[in-house]
Parts: sequence; structure tokens; C-alpha cells
Amino acid sequence: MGTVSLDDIRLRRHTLESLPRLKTLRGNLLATPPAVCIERALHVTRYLRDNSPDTEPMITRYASAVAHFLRNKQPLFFDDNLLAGTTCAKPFGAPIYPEWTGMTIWPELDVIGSREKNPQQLSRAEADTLNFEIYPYWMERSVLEVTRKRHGNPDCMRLFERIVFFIAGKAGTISHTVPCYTLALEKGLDHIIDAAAQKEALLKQAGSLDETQQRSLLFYRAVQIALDGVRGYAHNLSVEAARLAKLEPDPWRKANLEAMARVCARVPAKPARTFREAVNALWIVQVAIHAENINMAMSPGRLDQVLYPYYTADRAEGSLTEEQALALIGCLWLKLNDNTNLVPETAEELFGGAGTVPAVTVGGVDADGNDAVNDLTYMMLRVTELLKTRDPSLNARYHQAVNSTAYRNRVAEVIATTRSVPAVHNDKVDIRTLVNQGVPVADARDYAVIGCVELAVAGRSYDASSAIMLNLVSVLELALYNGKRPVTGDEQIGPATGEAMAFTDFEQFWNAFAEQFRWLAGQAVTLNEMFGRVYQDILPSPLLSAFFDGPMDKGQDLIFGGARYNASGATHIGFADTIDSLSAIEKAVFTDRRCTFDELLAALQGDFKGHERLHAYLVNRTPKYGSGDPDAQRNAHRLVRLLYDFYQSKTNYRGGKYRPAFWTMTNHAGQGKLSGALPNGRKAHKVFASGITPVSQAAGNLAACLQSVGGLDGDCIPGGEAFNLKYPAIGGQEDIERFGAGIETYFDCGGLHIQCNIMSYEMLLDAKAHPEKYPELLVRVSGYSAYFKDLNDAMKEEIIVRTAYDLRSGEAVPFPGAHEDMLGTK
Amino acid sequence: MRSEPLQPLIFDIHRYALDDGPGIRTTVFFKGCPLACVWCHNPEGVSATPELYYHLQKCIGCGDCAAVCKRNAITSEAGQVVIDRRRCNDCGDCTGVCPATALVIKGRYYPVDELVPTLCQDKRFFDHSGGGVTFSGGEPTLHPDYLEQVLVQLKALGIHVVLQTCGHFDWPRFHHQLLPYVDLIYFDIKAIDVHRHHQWTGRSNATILTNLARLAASAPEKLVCSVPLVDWFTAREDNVRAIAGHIGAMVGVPYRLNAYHPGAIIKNAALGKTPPAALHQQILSPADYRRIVKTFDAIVSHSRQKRDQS
Repeated sequence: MGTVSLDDIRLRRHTLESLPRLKTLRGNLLATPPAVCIERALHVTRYLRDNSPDTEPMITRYASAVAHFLRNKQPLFFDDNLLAGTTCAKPFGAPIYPEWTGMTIWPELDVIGSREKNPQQLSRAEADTLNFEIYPYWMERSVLEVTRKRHGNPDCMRLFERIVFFIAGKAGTISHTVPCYTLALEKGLDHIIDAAAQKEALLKQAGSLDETQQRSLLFYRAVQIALDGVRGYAHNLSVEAARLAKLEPDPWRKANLEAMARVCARVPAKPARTFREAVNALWIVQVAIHAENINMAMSPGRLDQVLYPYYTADRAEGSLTEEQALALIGCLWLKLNDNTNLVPETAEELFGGAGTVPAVTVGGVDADGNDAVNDLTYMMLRVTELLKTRDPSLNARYHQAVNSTAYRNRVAEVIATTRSVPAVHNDKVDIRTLVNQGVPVADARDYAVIGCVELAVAGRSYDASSAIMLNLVSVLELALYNGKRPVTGDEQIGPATGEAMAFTDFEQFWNAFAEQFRWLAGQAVTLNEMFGRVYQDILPSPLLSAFFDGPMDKGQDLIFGGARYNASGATHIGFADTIDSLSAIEKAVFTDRRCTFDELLAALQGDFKGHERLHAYLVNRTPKYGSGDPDAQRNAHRLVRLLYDFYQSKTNYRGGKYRPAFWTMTNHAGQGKLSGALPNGRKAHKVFASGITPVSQAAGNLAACLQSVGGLDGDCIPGGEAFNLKYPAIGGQEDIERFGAGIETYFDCGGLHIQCNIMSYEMLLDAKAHPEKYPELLVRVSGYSAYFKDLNDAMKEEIIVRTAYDLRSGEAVPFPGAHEDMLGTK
Repeated sequence: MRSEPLQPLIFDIHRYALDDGPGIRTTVFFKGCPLACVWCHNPEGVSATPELYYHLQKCIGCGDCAAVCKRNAITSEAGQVVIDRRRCNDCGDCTGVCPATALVIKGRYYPVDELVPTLCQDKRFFDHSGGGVTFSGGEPTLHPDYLEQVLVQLKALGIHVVLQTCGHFDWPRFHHQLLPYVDLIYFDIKAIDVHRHHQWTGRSNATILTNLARLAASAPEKLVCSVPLVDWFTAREDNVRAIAGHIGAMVGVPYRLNAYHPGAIIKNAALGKTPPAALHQQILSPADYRRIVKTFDAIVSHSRQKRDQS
């Protein structure tokens, strides 16, 4: 289906100079400090408090609150963007969602605008509104508090609130999904509303309804209510654009406002007829989804496919130039950057610097398995290359047997020029992994990336991919200390699996580890199930459900399992450090008998002081994941398998399975800072390795590293993995091709995902010391991009110490001697 | 010609190498070299026997090595390890106990049926990048019987092979045992002047230049001349001009100029060797490198044009 008609796939003649609108908008964006936006919180709170009785069913009540907000949301035009619609009432806003994380900044209202790291502006009046009007209403009504009250502050919730064992994603978000906008663009919201009305009428005719049918009836009603709110917002945008156009003296601006007035008078209510209408309709729906759902990883999906029919039609008609198409894509990219997360200071350690990670996916194959790379694929790559903004998180799918080498090399080139994006996904293995999860192959081929690295069938699967983030190092410590952890003191946390000294072979220790894991993961699953049922009662999402395939047929909201596929994701922190520690224990205590468990624990508790010999031995002479060592690889396989078997045996409240994953955002840095010394020689309070990446400096050779990581069984990692690679530099065309060949081989070995930072230790150290010299330096964290200056110190350190591989020699570049204390092993 | 040692030793197998030929490659470094270039950047490749190599940076000064040394060649005081190289017989006992792997033995024998699978593990990288295996050293042609067995197998697997050589080899054996299985030969030319060559490398270049001429005649399509540019030595203007003239006289033979990198200093120290005082520590500046390449290219194309006209 994809065809490429561009004479130059690199689109080199288009630059920021030739696209001055994008240049200006980009400059504005980077110069605008984020501000807290209370507009949505205020409208939704007031509506629920004053206009809707508690007795009304929650689904229509919530839909009405969202629609009320959308109709009353200010239609704002901050700049010369070609697209109408804003997420917030601030040019760069951090919207407050009191249902989820909004309450967490309550204690910080006085300082959020002035704190050192990532301040978010908040006026006195807005703070007062939060203090006296919004927060009091939600005090007992947030997801967390409702769950706590319902279950009497259960053990699993108290465990979660310790932070150092696992994080329950649903306390802050469920979002993390990929809606599909195809239907909304093709048929318009009017069509979806009519369809819902007909379904509702049919049910009403049926007469007596059971409980499920009652719920369906309300669901169809709620869809109509919510989508009507979206039409109201678009109408307001149209009216306001027309009003401003009349006042506008500048003919260039006037023309743009008039065009937006026309576009919003039509879409998203009616079918989009042009590329511009399609892009703007898509954006308005994206804004509307955020009126209902928190802005975390709500990913637009395969935009080069979704928008392609409108592009080809306009091009064939001669009504759209390359410049205009690039400008519209660029405007959408900048719009996707118009909001950020509200981040309390305490969460800075764990999530600092993250954007909202709306992931866009390009390339790969279509539902029939044919090459899906088209003009828009290359245009989206070019726009990303020119803008170098944090969001959207761009993901390039690459199918070895189908996509061209020219495409592969172009992706490699964009990574080299941007130094960090796009991330690259292995189509063959990703599709196979989804098929292994029971997804039919045509649907599996239409996967898109959620947020960081998770795979979703666009608009068909509701995956709640960040449900659980579990710290594997805490499992290791529970096994080492008979169910206790040094950081939580003498309290018995997990089951008593035996004192370490009593283990007489490695199998016994492994069994203790596995038991602790199953116990801890079981707690995390229990809590997630509790949260899930609370969501069903208090936070349905009929608006979002309208943009999925499934809910309208089943008459079920997404939260009740309305989507066709319904997984939950559990990701893991400290993967590589845990494997290396398991291997170190196996070798040091049992194979070499270099030390006893008691000696090892004594060394760990003293952070290796006085145990320098043992420390050197653990660092240098025990098996390392990523080095090709067979023992390390065996333990890695074993760990992956343990997790897979456990999670796949669990069914969630929507009827789907849990899927294990290995991506960590910035949690590996934060959790590392909270953890003591480890058997692999990592010293106390040093960062863990990210995602599925080997420990820094442990995998000395690139070929071995790519084969070790790629050699893990992708079928057993259905939730996705983040593999970070760092190169100090990529030189000319020849290097780019060889870089591309390296990725290709990693994919051959079976790797799911790879992302790169092209920067040297020295450059990153300099950027840490002199942030003012690198205001726009973009880095890949673990599945998403961030501005380096926005990261907390722990995360900066982690990015710095990641092994850098010299592309010329394939060897790990030695870490600069003067900064060796940053490494966990020195 | 010296006879082939019974067991050729390999001091390194370098995976994902990009500087040793086309694509992504694995490079095998043999020990033993007929030359002894003063600037040699792989000094562990000169001697054909195993050698103890000491990474000062990795050493934690625990002294375990001194305790196991039967010849009392190692002393450890106040966190410093000193190796008496006259006593040390490179037995490697100390490497077994060193917790930091600061002490290692350079030089290990790989049976052919171990080496070939080791090289094949990266075949996918070769296939995707147009890469392969490169044999380097030291001097790989010192081991024609061993190398022939390896090459036959690599050829059968369709793996591209580059051979890097100093050119000082026994022609008949090279011609019969190695040449048929090799795709490219990177042939080093360090000096044309025989005295200078002797002074820098310890040997005359008579055999080398003869072998070069034979190779240019019998397999020009496999020949690539390789010129190391070492500041103060081979990169001298008159030397560069002479080499360029020589290459220019050979029709259609490609060449590559390699800026020398000073890895030798640390390596010599780790082997307990003193690098020659004459070895300048500076690498060629990028400007000087570009200037030399320009001169070189000009001379080669000039002499080739002249030849075409006549």
C-alpha cells in the first residue's frame, strides 16, 4: 500500500529556514516555561459538585462533566500554528487531574513555581482555587483514596507506598494506550454519535434489560454526551477563529485564522476532506481525549498510515505541496508538545524530565504484510530531524524482509543527526510476539508503540501498559535477607525463605528468589486489580472508548473490557543488576567457593570497605550479562522465563493477561539511589542499568552485547523492552550504513527494540557541569526523550555512565578516569 | 625465512572492528612478526611467545600475584606491583589469582576447530554489512599451514577475508597456501629507501618490494597498498613522495593511508618494554594528515597519467 513518490527521501531542500513558521513556533516552545493549568480541574470539579447529583450513574455523570468542560474550555490561539485547539489554557501547560496525580502537589503549591528543578508556574489566585475549591472536593475521591477506603488500607497498598518495592501505575494513570483516529477522520463524530444513538434505541426497544445491558445503555448514552462536548469545543474554536480573523490586520495571519475557522466548522464532526482537515481533526480529538484522561502516553499511533489517504488525495489533486505537508506535520508535532506532566518534587527522582510521551509510530508493514513506508513516513522523519523536540516520541518500525535498506539507512541517519531519535522496533519479532499473545496476524501487523516501548494493536487493544513497575533488586534482597530489606530495616516484608547461610547450592537460592518474586508480584497484581475495579466504578472513559474498535460493538466501556484485546503491563527495574548479582552469587559462593554467603553479606553491608579483593573479584571475574558469557545468559533467560510464566498465569479485571516488560523510564536511577551494595560489585546508592540494557562497562564488546540482548526470547517479553545504546559519534555515510547494519543484526538475533544516544562521556559531563551550554540537548532516557538539563542528577549520572561503544572498534570506550566514582563498580 | 612455530598464538580477537576492511569485521591478531618497527602499535604482536601483560589502571595492589610467583619475579609494596621481567618466565600463575584481572597472558593457541566457530558467531554482522574476517598481527603469514586450514573453512562458509601483512613472507608458500582463499590483502609499505627501512624496522625491504611486485602481477585485484603515516618517521615528506611514486608505478592498485595512533605507549609499559625514545608521542594533526593525503594523491595520479600517455 505504501508508495514513495518523493524524489529525495531525505527532503534535504526543506530546512527550518525554508519553513519559517516552524522555526518561530519551535523557538517559542523552547523559550516558554511550563505553567500549571487548572482550567479542566475547575470545570470538572464544579460540574460534579454543583450540577450533578451523586445518584446519577457515574458513566453519564462523568461524560457530562467532561462535555461541560469541553464546551466551556476557552478557544485559544496563542501563536501562528496552523492547527486550532490547545490542551491547556496556558501556551505550555501542566494540566491538573485531581482524580489521579493532581493531589500530590497540594503540599507544594507555594514552591512549585520556584523550585530549582523543573519549576511549573502557578499564580496565587490559582493556588487559592486549588486550595479552597478543587482539592477539598477530591480529598476523599481520588483513585488512591477510594481504593484505600474500600479495602481498609490493605497490605499491598502499604507496600506500594514504601516506593522501594513496586509502583502501582494506576494510582497516577491508566492512559498508556493507542486510540485509532481512522474512523473519526473518515466518518466524523456525527457518525459515531448516530451509531451510539441507534444502539441505545435498539436496547430501549428490547424492553427489560439485565445489568450488563443496562450498563451498555448508559455507555451508549455517555458516548453521545461526551462526543457532543467535542463538537462544542470545535464549534467554539471556529467562532473564535472567525472573530479574531476579522480583527487581524496582518493578511498572513488573517488567512490562517480564516482557514482554521473553516476547518473547525467542519471537523471533527464531519468527515475530513483534506490533509489539513484530517490533521486538525486528529489534533482536536487528541485534545478532547485529554479532557477525560490524564496526559500520560496517550499515543496517536501510526500517523503515516492514518493520514496517508488525505495526503495522497490532496497531492493527486495538486492542492498540497511538500512544504505545506511538512508544515502541517511540524505544527502537529509542536502541538503535541503543548502540554507536560504535573510533577511533584518527590516524583522528580523517579520520573523527572519526562514529557507526556505521546508516541508516534511510522514505517513497518501494513495489515497484509506489505511495505507500509510512504511519503509521510519520510516527512515525519524529516520533521523530527528538523525540530528535535522532546515529543512526540518517534518510533520507526523496521521489517527486515519487507522494508528497504534505503529506509533503514535513513532512520539511522536521523538518529545520527538528532543524536537520539527515532527508536527502532523490530517488526518481525514484535509481530510474532503479539501473535504469541493470541492476536491475529493482521491485527498484530498493525501494532503501534505506546509511550515508551510497549506494543499495542492500534485502536483495538487497551493495554494499561504501565500498571506495575516492580523493582527486581528488592526481590533479590528479600531472598538474601530472608524476607527483609536493609533499606526497610528489621521489619519482615516478604515470606521467610531461609537465611542465606543455610543455602547449600545455587538452586536453593534461586528457589528463594523465585518465591520472593511470586509473592511480591502477587501483591502488585492484587493492588492493580483493586484499582481496576475502582476505576470501573468511578472513572469510566466513554470518550476514549469511542475511538476504539470493540466498545461500540460490545456496548462496554474500555475499563470493563470493551476493547478487543485487554492486557495489563508489568515492567521491571534492575534487570541487568539482578542477573549479574545472581550470576555473581552462583560463581563466588558455589562454583569458585571464593567466599561464603556470610562474607558476601558482610561485604555488601559495609559497601565493600575492607573487602577490596572480593569487590575486584566480583566486578572482574563473575559472569556479566551482555558479555556473551553463557552462565550470565542462562540466568538472564531463566529470569525472563520466571516473569513470563508468572504474569501470563494472571488474568486482569478486563479479562486480559498480564504482560512482563523491561523499560524503566528514570526509575532505575531513582531506585538505584535508594539501594545498598549488590553482589555484582555495584556499590551502594549508584544507579541501576536502564531497561534491558547491560550494566555499564560490563559488556565490553558491541557484537557480544547486541547478540546477548537480542538473544533473549522476545516471545517472553510481550510488554516490550528498552535497550539503550550509546555511541560517542557517528561519522559519514559509511558509518551510518554500518550503524544500520548493526541494528539489523541485533534484530536478526531477536531484539525487539533499540534506541541510541550519540554522545560522548566528555560531552555529557560537560553538559552536566554547564547546562547553559546545552539548552536543547535531547537524550533518550528509557523509552522516551527528555531535555538533558531537565533530568535530576541521578538520571544525568546514569546517562553519563552508560557504556559508550566506539563504532570504529566496537569496543566499550573507557570511562574518563577523573569521574570513575560515578561508576557503580569503582 | 624462519620456520613456522608449532603453535601459532593469537593475542586478541577483536569483534565489531570497522577499521580493518569493509563492513563490520572480526580481526584476529597473531603473535610474532619478522619486523620490529620502532613505532609498532601492537607491541604484544612482535614476540611469538606468550607474554605477561599488566594493566596498571585495573590493579588494586592486593599482592596476591606476588604470593603465588614461584620465581619471585613480582614484588608488591604499598599498592604498587613491580614485575622483574628478567625473572618472569610468563608462566601466568599470577593471572589465575589476580582478582582484578590486571594481569593477563597475551598469546593463546586456538585449535582450528575452535577458532572457526569463534569467528562464525558474528557471521550475521558480516552478512548485513558486507564485512568479514581480517587476519592481522603480528604477521599472519608466519603461520601458513595453520592459516590455510582456517581460510579453507571460511571460504567454504562464504566469509570475506582480508589479510594484513608487512609483506615479508615466503612467496611460494604464500602464493600456494594463502592467496587463493583471501579476498583482499592490505600490504604495508613503510619506506622505499632500503637503509631507512632497515633502520626503522630492523630489516631490509628487498623481500617486501619483490613480494609486492609479484602480487601486483599475479593478483592485482586483491591488492591494497597500506601506508602507515607516523609522524617523524614514515610521514616525512620525502618518504611519502617515494612511496607515492612507487604505488603510482603500479597500474590500478588501490591504496589507503592510515593515520597512526599512539596506543603503543601504554601497551609497551604493560609489557615491561621501553618504547624507543625516538618515538614521537604526537599523532599527526588533522591538517598535516590532509596535506599529506593531498600530496600523495597528486603524485600517484600524476605518475599514472604519465604512464598512460607513454
